[in-house]
Amino acid sequence: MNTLKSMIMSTFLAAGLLLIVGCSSGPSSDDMAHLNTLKQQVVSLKKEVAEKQSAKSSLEQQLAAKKQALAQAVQDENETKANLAKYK
Amino acid sequence: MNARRIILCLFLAALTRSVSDAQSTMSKEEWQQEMQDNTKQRDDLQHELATLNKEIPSLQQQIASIDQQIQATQDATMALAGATLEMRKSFEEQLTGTESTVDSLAGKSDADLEAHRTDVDKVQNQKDALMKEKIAAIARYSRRLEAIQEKLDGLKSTIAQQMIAEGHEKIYVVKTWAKDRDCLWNIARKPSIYDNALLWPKIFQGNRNQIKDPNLIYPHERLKIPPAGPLASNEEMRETETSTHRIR
Repeated sequence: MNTLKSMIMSTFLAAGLLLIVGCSSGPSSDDMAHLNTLKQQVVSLKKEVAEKQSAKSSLEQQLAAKKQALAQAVQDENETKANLAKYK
Repeated sequence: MNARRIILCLFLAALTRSVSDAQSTMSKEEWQQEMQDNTKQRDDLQHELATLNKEIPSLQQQIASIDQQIQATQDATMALAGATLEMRKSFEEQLTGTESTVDSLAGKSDADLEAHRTDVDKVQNQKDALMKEKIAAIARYSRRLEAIQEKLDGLKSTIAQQMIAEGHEKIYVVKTWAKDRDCLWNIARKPSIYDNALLWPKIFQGNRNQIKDPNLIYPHERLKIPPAGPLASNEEMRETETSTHRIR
């Protein structure tokens, strides 16, 4: 009788053990470490992209200014030709 | 009994583990969602970075190319006037010096300026000498020379006003043509006036409120005689306008 009781008790405990372990299977610590690494990569990439976009904006402004300077240089050349024609 | 104790211990350990796992903030599904979202963000950012890494060198190349074009255009402009680097440096030094002198005169009070009117004439002569050089045709220099002339005209106008205010102005009363041959040309030629007939436009410009036509002046008209000096740009007249300047 006692042995039977013990066997039934052990069976229930083992089943309960399996149930608990099965039900509490969230992400493991390795999984969480992987997720954290991925998040850090995203943060780092965002920073790098922001820096590159700032550099790109600055270059675009420089390019616009250079185009104006070129237009002015061409205008100066034409004005000089007109002045030289009067000089002659 | 031993087996039971072992199973009981294992049960308690598993229970403890599941309790601690339950206390973390994330379920498996949530973790999987986070992984998906972050992976997509990472991939998008890497793609954006790759695009920027192509665009930035392209912009730098365009800027370098335009710099070369600007330099080539400026060199061509200088070559039109036959201006070497040394000539440009020398001309720019003289031009800057003239600009400084004009600015210095412009900073004086009206009374002080009148006392320095010969300095104004000297600067006018400097500017006229610079204008005669071929390099002055280069646009950037011609614009600076025009600005100098504008300031000089302003200074001369101030001096003239100051002289009138202080009663220093010279007045010439026009006589007749028949007897005295008074016309603007001859008046300017008089030693007591300018001793130089070619300066007659100064008298004309200084009396625009009275003289509408330089060919017509009238006896007894009182003409202000502006200070002597080179003709200002507004005083230079074409030869076709210098006909008879007769008096009625």
